[in-house]
Order: sequence, then C-alpha cells, then structure tokens
Amino acid sequence: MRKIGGLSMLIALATFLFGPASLWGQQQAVTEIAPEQLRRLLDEKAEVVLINTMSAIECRDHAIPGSLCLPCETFQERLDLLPADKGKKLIYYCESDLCLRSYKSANKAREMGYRDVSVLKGGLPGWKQAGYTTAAQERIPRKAIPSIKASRLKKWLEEGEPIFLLDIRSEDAFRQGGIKGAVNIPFYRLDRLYQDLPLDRRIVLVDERGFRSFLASCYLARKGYDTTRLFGGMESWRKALKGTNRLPAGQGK
Amino acid sequence: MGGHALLGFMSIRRRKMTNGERSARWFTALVTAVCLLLAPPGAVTAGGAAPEAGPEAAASQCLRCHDGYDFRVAFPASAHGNIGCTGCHRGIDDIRRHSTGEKRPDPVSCGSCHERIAAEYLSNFHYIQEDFRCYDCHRGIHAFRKMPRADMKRAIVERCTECHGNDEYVASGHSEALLKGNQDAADCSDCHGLHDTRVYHTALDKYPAEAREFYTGKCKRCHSDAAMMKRNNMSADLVRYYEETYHGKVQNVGYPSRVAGCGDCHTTHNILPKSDPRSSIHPDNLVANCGRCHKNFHTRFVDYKAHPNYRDRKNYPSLFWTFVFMSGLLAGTFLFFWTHTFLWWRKVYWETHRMEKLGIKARCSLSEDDCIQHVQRFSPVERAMHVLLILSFFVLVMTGFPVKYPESAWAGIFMDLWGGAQNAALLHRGAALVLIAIVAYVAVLSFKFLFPKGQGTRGWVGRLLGPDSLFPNLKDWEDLKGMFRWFFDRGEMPKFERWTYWEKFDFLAVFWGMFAIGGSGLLLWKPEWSSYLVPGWALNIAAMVHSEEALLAALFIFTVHFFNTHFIPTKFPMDRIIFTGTYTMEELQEQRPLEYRRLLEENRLETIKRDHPGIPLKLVSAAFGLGSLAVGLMLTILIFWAILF
Repeated sequence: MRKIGGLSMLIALATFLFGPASLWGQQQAVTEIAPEQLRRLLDEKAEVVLINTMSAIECRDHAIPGSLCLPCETFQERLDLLPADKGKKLIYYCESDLCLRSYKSANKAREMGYRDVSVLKGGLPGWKQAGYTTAAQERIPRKAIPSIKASRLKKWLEEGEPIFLLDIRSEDAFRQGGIKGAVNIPFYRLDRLYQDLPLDRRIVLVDERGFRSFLASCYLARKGYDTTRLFGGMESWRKALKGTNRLPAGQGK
Repeated sequence: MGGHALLGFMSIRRRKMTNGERSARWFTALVTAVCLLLAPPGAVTAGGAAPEAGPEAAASQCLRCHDGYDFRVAFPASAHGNIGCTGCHRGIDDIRRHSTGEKRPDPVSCGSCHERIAAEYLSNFHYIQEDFRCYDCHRGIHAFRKMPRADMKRAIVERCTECHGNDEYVASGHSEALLKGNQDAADCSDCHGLHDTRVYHTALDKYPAEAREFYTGKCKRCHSDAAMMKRNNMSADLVRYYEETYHGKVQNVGYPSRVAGCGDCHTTHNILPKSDPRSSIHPDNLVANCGRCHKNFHTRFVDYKAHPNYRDRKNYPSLFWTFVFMSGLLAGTFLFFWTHTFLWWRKVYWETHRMEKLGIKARCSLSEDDCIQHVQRFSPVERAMHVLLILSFFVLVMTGFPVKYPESAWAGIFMDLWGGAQNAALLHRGAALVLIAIVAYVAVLSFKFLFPKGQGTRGWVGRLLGPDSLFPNLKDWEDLKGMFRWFFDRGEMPKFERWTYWEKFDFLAVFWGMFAIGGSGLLLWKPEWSSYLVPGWALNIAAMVHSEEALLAALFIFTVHFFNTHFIPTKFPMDRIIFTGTYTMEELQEQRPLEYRRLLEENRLETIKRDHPGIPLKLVSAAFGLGSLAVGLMLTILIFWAILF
C-alpha cells in the first residue's frame, strides 16, 4: 500500500515537474523576435514572410507594412499562402502580447515542417510602442463607440434590456464558456456574416480582453448597426462576477 | 502600401524643421492668405487650366475642386487657417497630375509641427491598441478652433465620455466641482493623461504596480499643492501624512504593488467626501473598503487611520502621546549614553596619554604563567547566540530601514539588493523569528538561573541581585556614580564584578526592545488578526513604536555599544572576546577585579581555565567582528544621512 502511495506520488511529482516543462519546450521551439530585430530584417530587405494572425478586417485596417493577412483560425484553409520553401523565415504576430494566436499559428507552421518560425514580441502594440509605423489597406473610420462596464451589462441583462449580445471570440473560446444568451460570430468571419445581425437592437460586442471589440464595433457601425462594447471583454466580465476585480495581483518589480 | 492620405497621418518623425522649410511654409501661408483675401469666390472657382504657382499649390487652386463649406469658409477661420491647405497636405508639386488623380499628397503628419504631442502620443493606449489617429478625436479638423482655456476641462470630459460612459465619475466630487467651473478639479486627462494615456488597461489589472504608482502620483500632484488645496478649502498635508504610514512608505520605496495607493481606498472615479453615504470611505462602507485587500479582520480593524497627523494632539491624542514618549525615550537615552561614552573616552585617552608620557607600563601582578593563562568569559553557546544576534539584527536593520526612510537615496539600493520588497519583507520576518527565538532562549536560561533544579524559589532574590546576575543592583548605582567621579578625575575607577552596569543595560535593553519592537512587529505582521486583540488605531501606534524603537536600537548598538565595547582606546579597534570567548587572567584581574577575587576565594579559577585560542578562530573572529563593525558604522552614516538630508 505504501509502495503504491509512493509510486503515485512519484508520478504526480514527475507530471508536475516535466508536464509544464514539455509545454514550455514546445513554446521554446518558436523563437521570439524583438520589434527592433524585425525592423532591421525589413530594412535589410531580408527574405521574411511576415504574417498577421488577426482577422482580415483588422489586418486590412492597419498592419506592419508588407504583412500577409492569415487569421489564425483559417490557418488550414489557406495553406496555399505559405511559401513552398520550408526553410524561409516566418514571423507571426497578433493584437497584443497576451494573445496566443501568433503562437498557435507558429506552432502549426513548425509542425508542417517550417524550420525558422518566430513570433513578434509584444505583437503589433509592441511594434508601435517601439515607434514604428503601420500601413492600412482599408482603414475603418473610428467612431465614438460607447463602452460599458461589466456591472452595467449585468444590470441590462437582469432588467431584460433589448440588446443583442455578440461574442466575437473564436469558436473554441466561446465553446469554453460565454455570457448567457450571447451569439458567437468570430471576428475573422464577421465580414461574411454580419448581415445576419439584427438592425433593430443595440448590439453589445464582447471579446477576450476588450482590445478587439472596438474595431469590430466601428466596422459594424459603418454598416449601420447600433453598437456598444463591453469594456475589458470577457476577462473583466469574469472578474466582475467573481467580485475580485480590485484585488492587487502583481508581485512588484 | 499605396499613397493614401490617411495612412501616414500620424507619421511621427521627431525631426526639427530646417530654417528653409520653415520659411517655405510661411511663404505658402502668406500666399494662401493673400489669395483668399484678394480673390473673389467667383474668381477662385472659375478659370481653366491652373498656372503652376510654385513648388506647392496655393489654396486658391485647391478650392477650385475642394470647394465645400468646410474648406471655403470654416477652414480660413480655423486654428490652422494661417498655414493653408499645403501646410498639412504637402507634396503636391504637379497640380495637373494631382487633379487627374495620378499624384496624391503626402500623408499628413501633425507631428511635424506638434512634435511634443506626437512624441507623447507614441505611448498612448488609444494609438497602441486601437490605432486612433489625431483626427479620430479631433474630428472636424478643418473647422478646428482654439478653445478658451476655461472651456478646456469640460470639453475634455465631453470628448472622453463619448465612448467611456462613466457614471461613477459623473457622480464624483471632481466632476461636480468641474461642472461648477472649478478649474482645479480633475478632468479625465489630469489623471489619465491627455495625449499620453498610458497602456494601463485598468479593467484587466495587467499592470497593477505601474498603474498604482502612476495614479497615486497623479493624485499627489494636485493634493500636495498647498496653494491649490488652500483655494479649495482642503488640506495639502494629507499626502505627507499618508507618506508617513506603512502604505505610503512602501509605496515610496518603489514597490507599490501590494500596498494601498490613493485609489485603493478612495476608489478611482467615485471619489466623494466621507460624509457622503455613497463614498467608499463613509464609515458604513469602510469594512467593505478595507476588505478589498485585507481579509478576515474584526470590524474594529477599520479604526486604523490612513493618514493621521501625529502632531495633532486634539484629534490623535494616542498617537501624539506615543510620539512624545518615544521622542523622550530616544532623546533621554542618547543624551545620557552619548555623554557617558564621550566622557569615558576622554578620560581613557587622556590617561593613556599621561602614562605614555611618563613611560609607565601596566605590569602584571600575577605569576608569569597566570598572566598569559586564558580564562573563559563566554560559553560557546553564548558566543553562537551573539553571532546569530548580529546576523539577524543586521538583516532586520537593512530590510527595515529602507522602509523607514523610503525617500533616502540608499533605500532603493537596499531594496534592489534584496530583490524587491517581497523578499525584504520575508527576510525581515525570518530574521525577526531568529531574534525572538534567541531572546526566548535567554529568557529560559534566566529563569533556570533564578530557579535552578532542586532549589525551587529558595534564595531567588539573592541570585537575582547577586554577582552573577544581569539584573541591576545597588552596587551598579554606586559604580555609575564612581565612573562619573572617575571621568572628572575625582576618584579611582570603580572595581567591577562580573557584569558592569552598561553591560546590564545592554542586556535588559534587548528585553525592552523585544517587548516594544517585537510586540509591535507581531501586531503588524498580521494586522487583520491583530484586530481581534486591539482596535485599528493601535496599529498606528504599533507602527510608530516599531519604527522609533528600531531607530533607538540601531543607533544605540552602532554607537554606544560599539564604543563601550570596541572603540574605547584600551580595546580599539575591537574586543574579540565575544567571538573567542576567552581573555587572559591578567585581563580578568584588571577589568573585573571583584570577580577575580571571588573566583580565587571560591577556588573556581581552575574550572574556567582554557587554552589560548588558535589562529583560525582568531582570524575568523577578527574578520567577522571588524566586518560587523564596518557594516554597523556604514549603516549609522546612512541613517544620519536619511535623518539630516
């Protein structure tokens, strides 16, 4: 009995020690590249394929000059866009340093046999913070889109306010849980599916962290929809539900 | 990339305009203005092929095609009217090609004139995350007019709330004052920045430390402005009082993530006076308010004062009298002991000089063997305890004093040395436990000394006041008077027993210190639990006692104890006996004559005879002892530096 206990302890320990390590190892296979390094590569006209993993709407709105628009979710559908030469340098990026889309795409590319795959550190915001410019193909005019906090949305839902809750996160994320009553149209499919949205109600957009719903709202507002967005996205919604929104989380410098 | 005019609207290049460029722009502006004044509207729109007027097109030429109301009427009267169309839309050098759509103007760069704003804007959240360009907020740029200063604050609030509906701000004191026309009241930009709105996405708590430091700084900027606060009938000292508390000190030492900044208690937008029932600091809401960070406390925990004025006897009597008591204790102790030490040093120095001058050398009156025979004064356990005591004390001082003096130049260096306030806090508590353990062990030893096995309470008073005890007795009083007589050359130096009165003071001071620092420290360790024992305001007192007693302890050890034991000319630079444990019988006879005589009479000298300490022990003792002295002196300098400057 004691032996079994010891063995299971050992297994648990090994899982604990090596489980995360193997995940870590997977992430390490993809290297991170700093904005300055990327700038240098582009200046040197090095042969790199720069891939924006956000939705096509976002990518056309503004992106690093010379980027390929290849939303993470459509990776499998558009394999033809990737270069035939597996030795070519691929650099992925997305809308923030918190988003995992670029890592997901980069890992898929590695699985396909691409040998030199990197992810831009800090994503597009990191690039801008480093002081570099972006280019637009089809800029969506910015509108004054009202944003509401989670507490207000909760009140609206409780009071039966006639709103249409639109969750623009990926199907996977939505499947893992969303706000009750929300309808999922992922951002990358919004340009093809928006005509299904109701025009007679206020549409409240919800995303992961509040970084993407603004542009989606502007896009829909341009089409004549009445849009509002949830400030802080699902993350602030979850925190508001838990009521731990204001607990200090950091550990100092 | 294309040549779309919008693309590079914010192409921010921090370059200075050359004189040539500047005069070219003025020239263009002048031409534009003259054309607009002289040419009747009909003449502007009429006409055939455009004559090439120069390197850049003039407004009259632009208006032939771009003839909307905004361009014709609003723009010339706008803030940018004087720089003409080509002041912003540059690069049209061939109007024919431009009119056919072949040549588009260069991207507009507001940053080429508004350099400072453009540079600030690079860190703006709206730019970084949402890619806002200048005109996304400054809409209707062609009709843009300079706004009277008095309308600015209201306009900023109007503009921000177009997207950021914030009913909390609307209900706040800041908003109310602002709408009444108070130019001191904070609008959105006063806290969040205008063009440099930071990437502190507060809804995500992603940068809690940075955000807290940033916003607390913003609050302090106005609320410590004496003139502004006076105008608004508020106190500018509250910031200072906050900075004197634990929250304020840890915030200032540069590790703000785990302590309350202004917004943590006063909330971020819903800032109201405490008389307002909606206010987070209204007495009814305090339990919930403190409860956002502190858990499991008794309700009287909220009696803690977040920014008390300890100099205010009327409103904070307990703090005031604690301050008076602690100040008196410090002043009295140092006045007495620094005088004592100075007089002692003077006497010894002068005496040594006299002996030197007369060529008198102290001669050992014992037999030759006995003179060099080593005897034990401190047991190995006692020596080990002292080493532990030194180590734990240094750790406590070096982790605690940066918090006591967070604004001193060295506080940050120490914090970085420990790798952050988290580590410093852990070490401080760890060292405190070591110290508590030592003192507890000594208490047990003392108890055993007083009530040895088999004897019970019989004769304990005799032992307490006897020669081996560290408790003061009448002889100590006589010795003290005798020492002062000796300092002033009015008598012989008193003959001491095993423990001198200053050694007894050192020993008992540790017990008092443990009561004061240890007790207050334990209360502050887990303030929430302490609230089940004492009300919140007692924690204010505990913090003051802990801090002032620490100053007393550190300075006392690093000055009085160091001088009395090591730096007195007969022992300079150090007395290593606490590390080696032994000295010669000659030294015993000279320094503790009464003890020597007692041991001789009781025939106990044999039992304390020890071998001469070896070279390794001597070397280690010297290195550790001198190192400790050096560290202590350095800390003394740092403490005085912090107090004086």
